[in-house]
Amino acid sequence: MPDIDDAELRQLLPRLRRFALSLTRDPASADDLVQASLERALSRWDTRRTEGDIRAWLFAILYRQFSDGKRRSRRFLRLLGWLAGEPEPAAASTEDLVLAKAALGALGELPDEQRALLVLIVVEGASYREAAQILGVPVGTVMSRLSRARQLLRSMVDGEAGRPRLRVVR
Amino acid sequence: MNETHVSETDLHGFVDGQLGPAARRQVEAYLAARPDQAALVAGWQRDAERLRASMANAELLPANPALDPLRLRQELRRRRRRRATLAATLALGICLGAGGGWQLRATVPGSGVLPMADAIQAHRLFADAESGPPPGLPADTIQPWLAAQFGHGGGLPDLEELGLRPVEGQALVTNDGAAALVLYADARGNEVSFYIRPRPGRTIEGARTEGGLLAQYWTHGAYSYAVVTRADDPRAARLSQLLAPRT
Repeated sequence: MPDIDDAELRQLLPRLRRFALSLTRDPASADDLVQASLERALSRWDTRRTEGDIRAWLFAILYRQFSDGKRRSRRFLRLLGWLAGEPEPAAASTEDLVLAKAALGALGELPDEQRALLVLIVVEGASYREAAQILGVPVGTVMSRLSRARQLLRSMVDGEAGRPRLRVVR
Repeated sequence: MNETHVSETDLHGFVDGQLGPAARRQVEAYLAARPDQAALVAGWQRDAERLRASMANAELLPANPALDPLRLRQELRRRRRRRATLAATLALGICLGAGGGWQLRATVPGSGVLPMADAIQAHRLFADAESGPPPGLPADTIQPWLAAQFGHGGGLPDLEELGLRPVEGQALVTNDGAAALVLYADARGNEVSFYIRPRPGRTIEGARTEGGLLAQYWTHGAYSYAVVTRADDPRAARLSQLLAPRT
């Protein structure tokens, strides 16, 4: 079986990073996620089921890494909070984080799985079937999730437009 | 066309450009007759456009050399070796550093005179990533180099049938003269070492396990050979079959 072509990987890299950024909403975590995913891909390229679509395969690995990591860190945060007697430790607020969130806009407010789906379909141009494959869910779930995501995004965008904008005053 | 045939799934398919020409015309007709639905779909389209625009600049992320595939492969290889070393060291319960090894040798009777001790040592040296592995020979130069060093005894075994390819060669020194270790790896990164050294005073042949590593060894002509695998590597038996009669 042929090896993963480095040139092909390099070409996909910007899109993987973009997808990761939309998931993590923080550039540093996004690159960590991409690195972990690529390492996983490189060390098990021979388990790739289909010959054709490297992109879908890599995106699927990345999304799975993200979901697994999320579960782990949530457990960890809960444990930390419990040990420290705090309700929930706040995430570090860096300038990067703020900028990434601003760029994502309302999308950043959507639940992870809806955000991932919208990015795959709207930005990456994935078919519903590909998106289902990447996210590891049936196509029916993709459709219902897409419906919820669009509704929620709509209501947030409309809400923003109707609300006076907050201005940062120093 | 009957507008009752248009479902929400069709509307999404319309927005996402995932409909065939016929279905697309059907949705267009439907939307022309239903301004409320047309407004909804137009809203989805605006959101999609905004999303695409905000994420269009994939190339603008600052370059991150840590993500380059070549570098990742090197890093993976280094880490695999470190893991193998760590596993071997933990299993033995010793540190191969200056003092620990000698102390252990003193307390374990006969450990200093075990056959092919240098094969296992060499595998470790090769796998030791604390200071980085010693600079090795690239795969394509291993064969000529072995032949030059060891003449007839230095044929590079073909282990392709087990999915193993030579990845690196390393010159080593023993009490009896120059030795060499060739590291093979399969697609999953499992590593196997082939070791060649001048025949010691006596003919040695057999196998032994140490620290999770299995060394199988034999002597032929002026040289002794060993193949070192992880003790649980299922290919170990086949390897000795492949190698022993040939060399």
